[in-house]
Amino acid sequence: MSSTILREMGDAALVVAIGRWRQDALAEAFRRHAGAVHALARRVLCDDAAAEEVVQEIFLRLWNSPDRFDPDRGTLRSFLLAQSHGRAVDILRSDVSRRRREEKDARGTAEAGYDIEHEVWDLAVADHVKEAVADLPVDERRAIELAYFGGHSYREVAELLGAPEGTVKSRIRSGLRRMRGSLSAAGIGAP
Amino acid sequence: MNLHLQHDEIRQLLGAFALDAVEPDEAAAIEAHLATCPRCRDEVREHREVAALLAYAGTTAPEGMWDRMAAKLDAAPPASAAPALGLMLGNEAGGRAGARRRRGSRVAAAVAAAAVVVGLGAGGLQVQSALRSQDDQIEKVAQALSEEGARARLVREAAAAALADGARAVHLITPERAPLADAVVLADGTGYLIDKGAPSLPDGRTYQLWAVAGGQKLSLGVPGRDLDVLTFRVPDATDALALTVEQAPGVVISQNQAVGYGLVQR
Ligand SMILES: [Zn+2]
Repeated sequence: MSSTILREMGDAALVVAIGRWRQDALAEAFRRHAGAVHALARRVLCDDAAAEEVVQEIFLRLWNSPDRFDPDRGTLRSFLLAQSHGRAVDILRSDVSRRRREEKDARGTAEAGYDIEHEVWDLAVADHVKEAVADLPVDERRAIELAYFGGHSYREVAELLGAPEGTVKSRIRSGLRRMRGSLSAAGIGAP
Repeated sequence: MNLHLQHDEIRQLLGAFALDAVEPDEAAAIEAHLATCPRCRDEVREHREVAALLAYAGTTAPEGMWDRMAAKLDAAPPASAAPALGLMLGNEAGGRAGARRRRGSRVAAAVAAAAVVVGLGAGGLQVQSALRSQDDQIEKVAQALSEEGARARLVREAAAAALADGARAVHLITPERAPLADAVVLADGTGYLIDKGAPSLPDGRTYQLWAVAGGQKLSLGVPGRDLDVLTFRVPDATDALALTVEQAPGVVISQNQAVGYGLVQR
């Protein structure tokens, strides 16, 4: 089997092979990214089974319409994670999971908030990402945590933090830009 | 809610939008704006890349998840149709051939468009000025330049690779000295091959690419009936690349004479 070569292919080439209905290429994309896709969905949903459904949906979408991935719009990883996040948030905001969310919020408060530092990936970039997170002003960091991992809208974040909505949306944006700046300085992320 | 948000209001929302943290009506207004504003599109892409770095990678997906997922893949080519070795971008085995053919022709048009750029080297000059270090930069630059999707991006990666420091060119020619394909091998062993007029093979036959290293032939890939474009990895000390024509889906050891051959230039 060509697993050695598939393992060395770039993500873009992998998606081409998926477009040619190479199930082993999909398996390789799954091997590379499903862990992250699943972890993010589980983080947002606090529900293993629901997170697995999200993973299946995201990879079936990739299998059925690989041309929806546009390498111009970013890496395959960020494409899959953005899809996973969007889907998880949709589920979270639907009526079905309202109760689950209330439980989650109660638990979140009991745990004294989320902690991005425990969520960064454990590869070579982890230290730089940790540093970039640690360098964020605490207000920006909280806003990003609640929005990204909590699945809250910026309005809800404003309510949770007792801050004006306008302030929260600019904290999210400036925090993301600040992180991008420190990560690019460390040679991480797109140019 | 005002659906006709001003540009400044849109920009202020891009961070929250990238994190799926805006209201549905705002999301709709932003998406409509993104369709016409490359600058805001870039910003959203950047925010999403940062978010992707924040997301916990886990290590691998939990046990059994792939198997449960694979069971849902419909009309996938059977595993036995996959080649024993290498890439098989031209593989047409399995059902739903019509859908694939449509996709194939769209891709072919994109490749043709990109091949013009490769041929003229126009994209290449832009690539060169942006090229800083070899490996990561090639990927990034090719990504930035690609407008035709993943397949064309491979072509452009190949174009960028040809300009990279330490890149070694290989011109594969027939015994009659007609050009068949051009390839480039990077210092780390990554290689790209692009068709230079190799004829389409009849059904049931496939090209197979080999590395000649220390007198041994090692299979690098099975491109299919057409060479088109592919990426591969060569072992250290590869002296030459060779192409043979084999029965699909390719062989482990070739008994055939090479139809094309090229030395890896030092
Ligand atoms: Zn704009």
